[in-house]
Amino acid sequence: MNVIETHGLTKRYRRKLAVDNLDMTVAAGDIYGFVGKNGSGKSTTMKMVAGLARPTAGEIILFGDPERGGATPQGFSRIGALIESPGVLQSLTARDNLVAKALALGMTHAGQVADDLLVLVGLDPADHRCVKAYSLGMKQRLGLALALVGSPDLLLLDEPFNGLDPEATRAMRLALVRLNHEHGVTIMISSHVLDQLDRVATRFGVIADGRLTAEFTDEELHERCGSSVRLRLAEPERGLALLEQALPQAAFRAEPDGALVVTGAALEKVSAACFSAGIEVRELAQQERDIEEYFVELMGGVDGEKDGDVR
Amino acid sequence: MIALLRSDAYRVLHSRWIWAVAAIVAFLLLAPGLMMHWTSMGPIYYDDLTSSALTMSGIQILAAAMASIVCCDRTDIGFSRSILSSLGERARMVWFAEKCVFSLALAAVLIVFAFVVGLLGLLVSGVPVMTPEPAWQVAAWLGCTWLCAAPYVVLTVLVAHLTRSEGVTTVFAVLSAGGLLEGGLLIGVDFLYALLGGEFLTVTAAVGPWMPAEIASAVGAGAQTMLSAGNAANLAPAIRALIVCLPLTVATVAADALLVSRRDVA
Repeated sequence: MNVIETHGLTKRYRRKLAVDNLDMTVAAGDIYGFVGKNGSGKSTTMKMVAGLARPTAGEIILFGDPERGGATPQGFSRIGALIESPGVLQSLTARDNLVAKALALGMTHAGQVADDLLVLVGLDPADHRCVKAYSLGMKQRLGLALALVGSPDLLLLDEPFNGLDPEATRAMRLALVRLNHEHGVTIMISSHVLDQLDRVATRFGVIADGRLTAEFTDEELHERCGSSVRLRLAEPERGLALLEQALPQAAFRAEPDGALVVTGAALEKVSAACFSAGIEVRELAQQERDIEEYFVELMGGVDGEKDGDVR
Repeated sequence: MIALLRSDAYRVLHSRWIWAVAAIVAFLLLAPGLMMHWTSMGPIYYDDLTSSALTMSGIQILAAAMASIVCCDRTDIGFSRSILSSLGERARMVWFAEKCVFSLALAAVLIVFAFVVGLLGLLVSGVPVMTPEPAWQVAAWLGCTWLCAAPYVVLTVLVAHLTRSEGVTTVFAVLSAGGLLEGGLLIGVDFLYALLGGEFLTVTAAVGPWMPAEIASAVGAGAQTMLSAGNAANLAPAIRALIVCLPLTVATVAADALLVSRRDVA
């Protein structure tokens, strides 16, 4: 089942088109990494999914229910969200913040719920300090705990790794994986910290200028970003046809500069195939593609160039 | 609604500002009584309870300022966002209405608190009240005081939800509940009227008695004045409060719940 489905989702703020005709799918059990530059429309999309902003056009189907958006009969949604800032009441303790939210959702054992969630995110339920005395990492963890009040089936996290030190980042990452694996929570995360996102996400969506430019799985990402062979041929079209015959297991991708990138075949094999097929090679090199570099390309990159295999 | 009210009550009772407000109100009401008790200076007697012994001046401003704090706690919008994302569409509408209802309830608590502490101050001062009003008049006076504060409280909530600015909301709360906005508006209209050839202050004379600030001022003058029709409008201020403040409050709550709730929260 798809937890989130958007069709032609559009959001316009006066003259600015923040999200443009976005079609996105997040399946149950996914940890969906949502990647894009600042101002690309990530937060706006998440706000619309969370019901905090109204779409200008298009449709959002949550939990396969276009009518009530998957809300419970009591009127509660099945979504927990941490969008932009942790959204905590600074003058209260962490426990009071959680109890206040649990009471708002009509929970009877609000104190117990608060204590359990604080333990889950690694905060001390007996800490009587006001939240304003907390570090940013602690506030982020409290924000996550707030999002988890009500045991949501879908968690929307906007930049959850922002401002976290390596230890806190690791703790946050492990908490998210545990929630996904042990509690079956579907998670949508937007983040600039791509190496962290790469470690947790099972699927990725890339947004640029409000449009979804690519959607792929973790496996597909690593296929595209692993070791590859870059070659430049005298006759690219003929050479490509011959290489496809000679290396049926390999994948080929044309670069905007006319070069050919071959994945799934070693440099020696590509070289031997070119030699035996009589293909004139002008350049041949092994390359390692960095995940971050790949995402930057998909997001529009420095020069705005995009791969040939993206949507 | 009940769950949201419980949540707001919890967070307000666990905040420091509410206790600071309670302490300041208690000090301001008890200090004169204590001074009179210790120095044996002050009035020989009070005429009655509501016009001379107890004061509710400034209660509207304080009630509106408290509504501003409830809706504009510096990070409240983030916390609200967290709650609103966990609510379905209909429940979100209730959330907006609940903020008005909670602020009105808080104003009622403030008025009762000020009254009780005021009575305590009266006892402490030892100054007698010559002709105290019957209980029903005092109760009606307290109810009317709350009704006069109600439009300012809910308008403050509305402004908070519209602007999401703590500064703008607080300034609005103080200026509107202090009657400055209404006064300025009337003078402005009068000025335009005079420019067009009319007599200056004609509008103020005609509309003034029906403005909430004027009604609140008349109610604040005591239970007898509140129930007396001997004024420019020839209608008791209590009736005028029912005619003006009640519909204004209901309309503002409806606008907040039905219209403002449709705006983007983030």
